[in-house]
Amino acid sequence: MDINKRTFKVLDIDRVLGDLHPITPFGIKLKSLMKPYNREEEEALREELDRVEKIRELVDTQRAVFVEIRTHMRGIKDIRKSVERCMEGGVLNSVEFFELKNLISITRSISQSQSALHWKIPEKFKIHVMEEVEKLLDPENSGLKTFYIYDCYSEALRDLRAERAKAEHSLEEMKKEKAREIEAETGLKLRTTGDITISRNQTDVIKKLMEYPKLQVFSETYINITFKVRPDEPMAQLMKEIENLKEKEALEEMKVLEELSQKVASLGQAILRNIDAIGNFDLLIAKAYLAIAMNAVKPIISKDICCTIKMGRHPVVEAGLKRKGKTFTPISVNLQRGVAVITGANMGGKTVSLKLIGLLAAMMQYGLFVPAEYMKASLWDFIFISAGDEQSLDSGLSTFGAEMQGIKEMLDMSDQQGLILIDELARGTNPREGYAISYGIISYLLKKPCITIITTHFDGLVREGVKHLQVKGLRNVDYGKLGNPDVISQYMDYTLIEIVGNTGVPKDAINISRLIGVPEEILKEAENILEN
Amino acid sequence: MKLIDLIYPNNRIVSIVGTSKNAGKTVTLNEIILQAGDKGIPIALISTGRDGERRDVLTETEKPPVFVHRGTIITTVENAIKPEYAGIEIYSVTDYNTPMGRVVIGRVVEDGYVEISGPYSSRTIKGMCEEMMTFGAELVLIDGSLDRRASAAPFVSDGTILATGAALARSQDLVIDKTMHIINTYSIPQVDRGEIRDLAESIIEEGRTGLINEDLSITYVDTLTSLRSGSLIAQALTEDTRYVVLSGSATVDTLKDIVQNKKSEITILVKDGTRVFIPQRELHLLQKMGLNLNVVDAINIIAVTVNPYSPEGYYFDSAAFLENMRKAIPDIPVYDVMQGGDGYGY
Repeated sequence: MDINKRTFKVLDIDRVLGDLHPITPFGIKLKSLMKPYNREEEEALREELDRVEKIRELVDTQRAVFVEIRTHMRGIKDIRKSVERCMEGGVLNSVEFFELKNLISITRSISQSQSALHWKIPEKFKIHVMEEVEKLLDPENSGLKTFYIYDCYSEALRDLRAERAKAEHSLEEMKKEKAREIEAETGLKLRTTGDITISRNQTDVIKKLMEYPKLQVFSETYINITFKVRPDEPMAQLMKEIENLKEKEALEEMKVLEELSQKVASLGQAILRNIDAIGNFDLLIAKAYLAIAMNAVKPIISKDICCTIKMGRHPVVEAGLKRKGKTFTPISVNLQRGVAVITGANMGGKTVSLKLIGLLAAMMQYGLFVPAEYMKASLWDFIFISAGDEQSLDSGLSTFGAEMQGIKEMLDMSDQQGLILIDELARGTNPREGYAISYGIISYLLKKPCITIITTHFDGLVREGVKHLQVKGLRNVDYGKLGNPDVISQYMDYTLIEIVGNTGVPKDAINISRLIGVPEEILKEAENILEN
Repeated sequence: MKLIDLIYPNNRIVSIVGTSKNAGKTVTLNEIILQAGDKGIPIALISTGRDGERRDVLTETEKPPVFVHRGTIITTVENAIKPEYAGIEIYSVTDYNTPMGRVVIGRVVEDGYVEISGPYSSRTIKGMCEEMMTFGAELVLIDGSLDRRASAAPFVSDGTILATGAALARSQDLVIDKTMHIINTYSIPQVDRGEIRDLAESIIEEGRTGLINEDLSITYVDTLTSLRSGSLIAQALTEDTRYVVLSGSATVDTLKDIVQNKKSEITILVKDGTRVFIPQRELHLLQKMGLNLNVVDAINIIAVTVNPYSPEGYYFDSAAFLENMRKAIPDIPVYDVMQGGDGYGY
């Protein structure tokens, strides 16, 4: 589906997607790639909406399991690059293996939680336990989450380490033996590290030790000298051997990492598949949580061109009002193929109504539930909104020019099934021409497979075949009681009602001006003009 | 009594802080590691200050790897896990990034050398210390980097070993003097009333400046930092003010403004001694002017170690230096770790 950048922004789709909170890096990545479903993908969308509904039900009945799953998910880090690098023949390091092991372990936990859900999980969302990888990274079957290049990865490694440990032990024993010898022969006490520090003041001791073959000078400072056990021939031999073994061990460890990487690479596809499943499942849960948070319902997809919303709420505006302690007046519409015109009071929420219709239609096509009591609508090839106030300074166009440029782009698409929303069509030019152009555009769009909704102050655009909606506005309100213009919005009735026949121009503009305190003289004359 | 017996088991997280570069901090650390090893105490090592600043990275790279025993829990960085170093079983990869890769916690599986590393902020250090204890460490040693005395903060560690030495100043007297000043600021007395501690704690937690009045009500002063905010605080002082709580550091200018404008007997409170940056002379002067400075959390100095050598080529007579330091700070044990095996007589 086509939603241009401007429409995306004007409809606040980004704000709504901003309230969608997947937890894992895979879910977050998937969310960033989210696109609305196309009209041809109706079946896939229907399935997705059914799944969101299913998860929402499950969150109600098995909340604890979801708390568990989301807790596991919080531990997941993005290791996709490591897996991919490994599949391209790269060798992973210990830290990467640790992280892989961690992911595989979390995968098991999620998989177990998942199987507790009363849900026949579609393959795309099913997370599998990866026993082969588990065995690979926990060869001693210890159940620990830590990682080390374990002995059992290679017999050679095991032997080298054992040999080195043995050599180090013998060396240690020899050192101790030597230290005991030295202590017995000199009467001095060595430290456990096999060294001793003598102050230069003790010249005789220093002289003695300098000539003593079993000790050697290790370091000197201005006032003392540190001696260390001098290794004898067998000790020196052993030290050389240990160094040798260490080198071989390091090479063997590298070989192990290489082999381990190859084995992981052969299981790479399965790991990546699981990563995808985690991402899909994560995003799906996020959609269900959003539906709960917004008190939203599953929209129904209609084959025929229509858009019916009962008690729809604009989630962004509603959240803003809620912060101020106010409530949003829900809006209901019932539109079929063709053109509808919304007229009515200034400050009457016409623009909000328009944006609400567009936003809910877009949310539906993103596979999200919609904040309303009921919604049934067709899928669109494009959604377009012209909010009338974008001035394109870059291209040097006026408000009107920029508006018409947008309208033209929309008209070019209008042979496709579209939802077209235009706020105060042609208000930026003189009323005579503006009216004429609006008339023409409406006639053009009446023939298209679209639903067009236009808000306007122009009288006379309503005619045969054009639906007329009006904001109830300040009707039935005692103006004397209002007094303060700040409270207008509280008395404004935002309900859209369908008008049949001609009702004449509403007088809300004059009423509102009167409330704000525009001189009565002006308003009287205005009323006279309207009556004649 | 050996140094380790003073440290353990009374303290579980201990920082080692130097009064200057080459004050013998690393020698002290190695000595403690050795003594803990002899006693079979499972230890963990972490260091502060790899925060990605070039300067720190440069000093860090000069730092030699530390020899540790099998079983030690350590904090290091991804790129410092090398085949030529001791093998490390990885326990946890943290989200904390450094130019040398992420900070990793692991267990050393064979005796050998490792590079110790760690995060910069006190809060993160504290968290990692606790994590290392869950991995089985009984004693965590924090290697406080140069100029990062914050690890001595009681919020982070149970106690501190202060390493000082000839590198701090040319003459023995000067070194002892400067060391005493640091100990004095670290030993600023804790405010004794518990309810005042709680109030001050909450003000500092919010990062604000507040006056606690006679009736225990709090008057907040709108200062962005307490660095240049003395006059703002001075204006807010009334006869009912009893305590002034500073969230940031206590500096000379701020304290002077407050002391000169006090309308009643007041006590200034800071979080702990690591927040006090006042040269010795000024502190004396302020105290004569009537400054009462208290802390919310007291720092526990376990011991002082001395290093009689300076890399600049001069040195003090080690026996005399040790003796004089012990006389100067009779309440705190002093050790000469450079002396080797026999230097611990207590």
